[in-house]
Amino acid sequence: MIQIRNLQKAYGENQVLHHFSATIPDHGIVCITGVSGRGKTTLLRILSGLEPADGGQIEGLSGRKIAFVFQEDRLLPWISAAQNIHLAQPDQPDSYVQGLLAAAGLAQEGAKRPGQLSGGQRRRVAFLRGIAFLAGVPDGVLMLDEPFNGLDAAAAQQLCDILRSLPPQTLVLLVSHQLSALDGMDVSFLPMEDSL
Amino acid sequence: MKDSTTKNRIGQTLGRGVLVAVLWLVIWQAAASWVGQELLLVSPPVMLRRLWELVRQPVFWQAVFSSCGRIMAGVLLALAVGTCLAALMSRFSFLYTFFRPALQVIKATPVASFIILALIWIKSTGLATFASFLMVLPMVWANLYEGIGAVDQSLLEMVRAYRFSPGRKLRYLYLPSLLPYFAAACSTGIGIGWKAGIAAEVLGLPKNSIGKALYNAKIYLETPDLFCWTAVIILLSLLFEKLAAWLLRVVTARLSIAQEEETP
Repeated sequence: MIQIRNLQKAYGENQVLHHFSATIPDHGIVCITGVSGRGKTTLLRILSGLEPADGGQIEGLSGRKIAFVFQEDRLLPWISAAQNIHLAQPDQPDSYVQGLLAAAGLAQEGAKRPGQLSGGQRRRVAFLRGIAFLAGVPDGVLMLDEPFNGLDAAAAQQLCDILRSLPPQTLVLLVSHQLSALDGMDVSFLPMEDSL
Repeated sequence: MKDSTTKNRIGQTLGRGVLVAVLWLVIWQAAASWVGQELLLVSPPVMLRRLWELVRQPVFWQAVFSSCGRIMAGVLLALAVGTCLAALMSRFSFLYTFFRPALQVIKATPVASFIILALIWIKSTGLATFASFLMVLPMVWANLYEGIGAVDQSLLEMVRAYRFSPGRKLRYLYLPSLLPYFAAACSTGIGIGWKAGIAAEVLGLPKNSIGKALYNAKIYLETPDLFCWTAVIILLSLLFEKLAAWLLRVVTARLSIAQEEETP
């Protein structure tokens, strides 16, 4: 289990996390829920190590490889979609990247640059980059910040299928307002209503 | 359809360029005829005749190659040192605090002051390299320092999250982000380098140099020579500018870097 104790974070006067505590399973899919402004993204960023907390403790995550799929796509605009994915895991062969692209319905789009893709396609490429980063890691942590934004139901389903194919020891922590996309998946929920 | 439109546009631009050049030549010829004295204003045919005589002399090419070597050595050195300084000053703020005043002083000081001072320190053969280096350096530094500061912070966070090695970070984030700034520095730097280098040669008079040829033309009132050498300087500066632009295009293509295209 992953223990979060008394986590605190403020941006100036704005206290985003106020002594937030929770216990998260160390594998499976966990969806962090709560209305906007409750600090869901901040919690993900702190758990991933992208941002320091002002106080509190996190136990059970150290030593695990973490892939972070940002709310914005953050793809390198001057290289192709396939290269963007491949850069996250240069040791994997091109066929691995092609397989991922095909699984997400992007088999024909690998050679295109992000600027030539639609918003939904870019979103999927960013998601696949996160998946590629954890290739060969049995107990990786995949953090997804609004992964289904801009996706239609079919594309969201393709991403869910990829999530199902991850090794069982993988922990997927996600923030999403499109909970219907997770229908039929074994998901635990972590509500953040009481963090303030 | 798209090809023929592009060809038409290129044809129109070329045609307009030729027309403008012809118009200026006509104005120049008219002015020379009106002045009526070769010593004051040379006409285009006289200049071309003299240029044809000059290019057939080995001494012309010796001067051209020597000046090119000296000046471009200074420009290249400034590009290398300016790039390193920009990188170091972005990384270490104390270096920025330390070097910034010096670079601003260099930027504001007239090139002639440096050349006259440098004449005391170094041989006249190294003067053009020194002057072009000194004039181009602050500009390269300023451009690249600004470029490094403008690198997309969200992409920087992404490469950190995905643990890019320093080499991959340089190749896939910094190089593509900085190439436009480097290209701008090259384009302006080459022009400034030529101006400063030739000024240094005119003052230092090194053997086999365009600057010395310019100086002699002035001393012996050889106005056609003065026009010829000036034209040669302009052509050389443009040639190196175009060469740099071509090289950067090749590098850009090699790195598979393209401008962000429209979303379909």
